[in-house]
Amino acid sequence: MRHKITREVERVDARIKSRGELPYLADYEFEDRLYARVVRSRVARGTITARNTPALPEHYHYITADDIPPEGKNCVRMIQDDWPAFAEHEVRYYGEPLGLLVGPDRDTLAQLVEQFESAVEYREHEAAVTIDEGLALKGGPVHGSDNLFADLHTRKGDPEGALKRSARVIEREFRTAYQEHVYIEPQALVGTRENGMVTIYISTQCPFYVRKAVSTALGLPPDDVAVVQTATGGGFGGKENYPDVVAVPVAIAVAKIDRPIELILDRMEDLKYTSKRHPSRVRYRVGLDETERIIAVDVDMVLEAGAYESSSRVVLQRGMFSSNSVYEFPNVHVRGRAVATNNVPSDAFRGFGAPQGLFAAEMLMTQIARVIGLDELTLKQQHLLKQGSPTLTNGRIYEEVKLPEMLEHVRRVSGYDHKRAAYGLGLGRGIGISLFKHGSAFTGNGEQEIIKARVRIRKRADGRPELLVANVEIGQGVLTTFRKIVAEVLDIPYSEVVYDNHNTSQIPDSGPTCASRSVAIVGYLLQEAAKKLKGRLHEPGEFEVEQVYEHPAHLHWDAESLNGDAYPSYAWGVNCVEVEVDRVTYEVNVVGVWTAYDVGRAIDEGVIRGQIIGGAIQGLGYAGLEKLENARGRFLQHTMADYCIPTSLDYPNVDYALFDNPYPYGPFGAKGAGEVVFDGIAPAFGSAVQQAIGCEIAQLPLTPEYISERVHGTDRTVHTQRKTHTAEPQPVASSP
Amino acid sequence: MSAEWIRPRTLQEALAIRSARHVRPLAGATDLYVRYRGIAGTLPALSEAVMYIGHLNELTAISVHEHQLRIGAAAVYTDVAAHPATPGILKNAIAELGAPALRNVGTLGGNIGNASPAADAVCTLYALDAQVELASLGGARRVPIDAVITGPGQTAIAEDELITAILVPLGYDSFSFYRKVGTRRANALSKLAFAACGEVEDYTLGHLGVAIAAVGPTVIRSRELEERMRGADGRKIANLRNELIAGYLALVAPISDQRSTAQYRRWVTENLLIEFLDRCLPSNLNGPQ
Ligand SMILES: Cc1cc2nc3c(=O)[nH]c(=O)nc-3n(C[C@H](O)[C@H](O)[C@H](O)COP(=O)(O)OP(=O)(O)OC[C@H]3O[C@@H](n4cnc5c(N)ncnc54)[C@H](O)[C@@H]3O)c2cc1C
Repeated sequence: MRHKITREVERVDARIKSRGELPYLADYEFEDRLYARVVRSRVARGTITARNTPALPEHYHYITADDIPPEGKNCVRMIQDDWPAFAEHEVRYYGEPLGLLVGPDRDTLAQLVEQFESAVEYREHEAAVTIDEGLALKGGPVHGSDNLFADLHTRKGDPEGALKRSARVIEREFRTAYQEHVYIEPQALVGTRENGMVTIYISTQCPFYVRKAVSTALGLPPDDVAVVQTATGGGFGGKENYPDVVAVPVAIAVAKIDRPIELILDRMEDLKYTSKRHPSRVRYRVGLDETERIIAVDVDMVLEAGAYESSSRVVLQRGMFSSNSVYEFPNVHVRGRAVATNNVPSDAFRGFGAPQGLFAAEMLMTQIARVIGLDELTLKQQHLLKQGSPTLTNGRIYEEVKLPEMLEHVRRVSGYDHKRAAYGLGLGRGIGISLFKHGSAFTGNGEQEIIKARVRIRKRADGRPELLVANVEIGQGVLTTFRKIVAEVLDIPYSEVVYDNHNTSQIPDSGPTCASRSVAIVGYLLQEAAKKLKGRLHEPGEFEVEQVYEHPAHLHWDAESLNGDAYPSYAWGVNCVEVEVDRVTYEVNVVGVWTAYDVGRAIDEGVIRGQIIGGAIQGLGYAGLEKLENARGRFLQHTMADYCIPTSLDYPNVDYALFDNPYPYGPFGAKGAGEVVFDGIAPAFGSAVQQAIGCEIAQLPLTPEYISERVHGTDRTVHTQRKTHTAEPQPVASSP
Repeated sequence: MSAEWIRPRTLQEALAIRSARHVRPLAGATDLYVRYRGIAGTLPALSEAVMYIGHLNELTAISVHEHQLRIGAAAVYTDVAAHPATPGILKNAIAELGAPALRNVGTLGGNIGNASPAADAVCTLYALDAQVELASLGGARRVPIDAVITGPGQTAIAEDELITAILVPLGYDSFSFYRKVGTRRANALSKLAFAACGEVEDYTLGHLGVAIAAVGPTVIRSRELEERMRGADGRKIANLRNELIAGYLALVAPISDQRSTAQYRRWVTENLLIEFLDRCLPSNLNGPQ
């Protein structure tokens, strides 16, 4: 029986959004508004030798680092302060902001940008733009002496000894590429001064991040800056830190010019210059004993971080902790590095490192299975984590692991066993299954040490409860789910709950909207706060109840050694993808997608379904379609015609099943769901493609071009062999 | 940005303007507005005077004259595809071109005028042996499609001329083979397109057109190789097969760009030739087996 809270209700924003009536930033009117455009570097790496700043027409302003107040700082504060608001002497990536042009007319601004950018002279340096170039310190280090923003290790058991003892060692390397968020609304904000305070209206996932970055740059106490989140047309992680990068220059301009200033990136500008998903290179050395059990895994993961650190250290940690997928291996060493290059800093993107680690781990398992002549799923099941298992960081799986029954379900509804056997190998058809998990909330002790989330519920004079939280709607449904949680506790209709204040001056900091944490962490705080309000809605007047995050007592974490419980809970998933590969064009046609998830308990089935379908389609785009190449620091696919995200014609319906598994520290038992639904599609797709083409694959995206190279490499056809970076291709395991 | 906009009332007036001064004809604007696009919130940054022709009745009509389909240069794709006389291969190409909204405004005249080597509709017009009617105040001339497009973005259309119609011979497609390889299923530009059609009489090949897009500076078509296939029966095609594949592969000169690689385009061209010669032609020449 489904819990009542899972029953689907009408999303509170469904009508206004589908009618196109919800105003976004570009629809706002501000009196006396000026427009802004960013002046950017035209080299990927260089020293500015002359700016040759052209003359400005009347009513136009050019804002640079010189305009930062003396008490402020030329930085966009994230975890570090290394990313400057405006480059002063050195530029580290193509498109790095040098200044901000502000004025009344957008056509004039466009011409001025051209003049200003072309006037700057540089001494250009050799740029490092790939992982390999970054590691090789091409052109000299971009950062520090070794180009590493982070070089982390985590160790369990005795991996070196176990590798030595192994009867067989298998090595593999996997690479994944960039992905662009393509949120429907590009980066957008209006900065202004209201009641004497610098006030930023912005499309963002994290209003308090913007406040921190702006107040640091201006040298103001955080309370002297107000940030108001406006209806946000999608984020996917792209509006986690990057809004800070556009907000800080505008705030500096507002402090000087004292007029409302609008900066909305043009789509092409957004594609060219904003952060992308981290490309990765993951190498494995895997030791097996005489019985072909995996006894040792040594992982070397490198993420391409770009020119500044942004969130790369934390993305890297999640990537590392995902690099064993859902398997228990007795001896593990993971080294993770975030390498600096001359590209725009890579940053958060749905999954936050996990998709890279999971793709590598899941593909690895399929390839080990082939080598030892075992069925993929049999090998995976032999090593599956279960309740009580130690994790690779020597933490524990506290919850019941429902993967076996979820796998059973997906095998049945997809017809996997029959199809896997019937399709043979290399005959154009394939079906693959991935197993995976995603830790809800911040990694390690982040929730406890960094965020310390705080929520309040106000009982208004009219008797309605009003939610005071910093988490925002980005299409994922929190406007509805948060209301439902509180309404269910208070036993009132969810439409009675007020949740419309997104101004940092008036709400507590419950943390950013990311990391699958909104419902799992903040939703739980709201549930607990609502309990304090229960039975008090009829009391006279106005009052508030508050709830502050407390780390569950059974969890421990050592940030130095990366040891302990990396996440309080996990969402689990099983994905199955069936494909046909066209033997003429190497195009992959996805025939079916079947999924099963344990997200604790769904707060609303409609919302979860939206996440599942959207995550699967976005994941398939990442797996096979979305190609973003970089040459000399510039992205080649910078239009919507060339950077192809899926349309509704590209993929079939997504089948799904939810497995209830209530989590004691989640609201009504809910865990995170926003990212797990993306994480596992690529390896399921990869496994299916391997069967269809009869050889191993080692990268994302699996474009028809890449598949053609793999096929020609193994075919006994007349074509000249083309070298790829991977080892000699070999046929994948035959079907059971 | 101030740009001059001209809206003639008749074709005659449009041609008079063309002969008097430089103006850029504009039909569906689906290529031109991409080229002229400014940043969001600004009007298209026109760099020349623009003359809209999409509303001229003389240019939007579609009609049949004897064995020829006359498609007005500014007839939109949706209308072309809906016309009962439109050859199946052109319908197939249109069905995979852009998306419905684009097909409601895009035109064959624009596809020709834009002269992209990756143009899909143009590719099928090559295979269909279409002619292009070019008109000026001095009169009209008919030019084979492959003589109109001279290079990437280059045409033989004179400054004072407009494309007025596309003339498609009917009955040249008793069989056809069309394959577009796009970057995705819809709203996708071509990495490669392959169009072939022709007539079969008495188990032998009559007229034939084979065109390949996006593997060279213009659509590739070889009358010489087609001539070798003319009159052939299934057995002869089988004998000629290797020679024909080699012949076509010698003609294509694909490049690597943001959409695909030269190597991929070459492999897929070869596969499509094999598909056409080993499967499509035999099944039409020998009947279903
Ligand atoms: C999202 C999108 C998807 C697309 N998908 C495809 C696709 O799948 N396949 C494909 O081939 N193309 C595609 N295109 C390109 C474009 O839509 C086609 O080339 C279309 O046929 C152009 O027609 P139009 O009427 O819009 O041309 P316009 O933009 O109006 O004109 C294009 C050029 O032709 C000239 N011109 C137009 N009419 C005449 C005339 N009568 N006489 C002389 N010159 C003339 C213009 O001056 C201009 O140089 C796509 C474009 C977009 C934006």
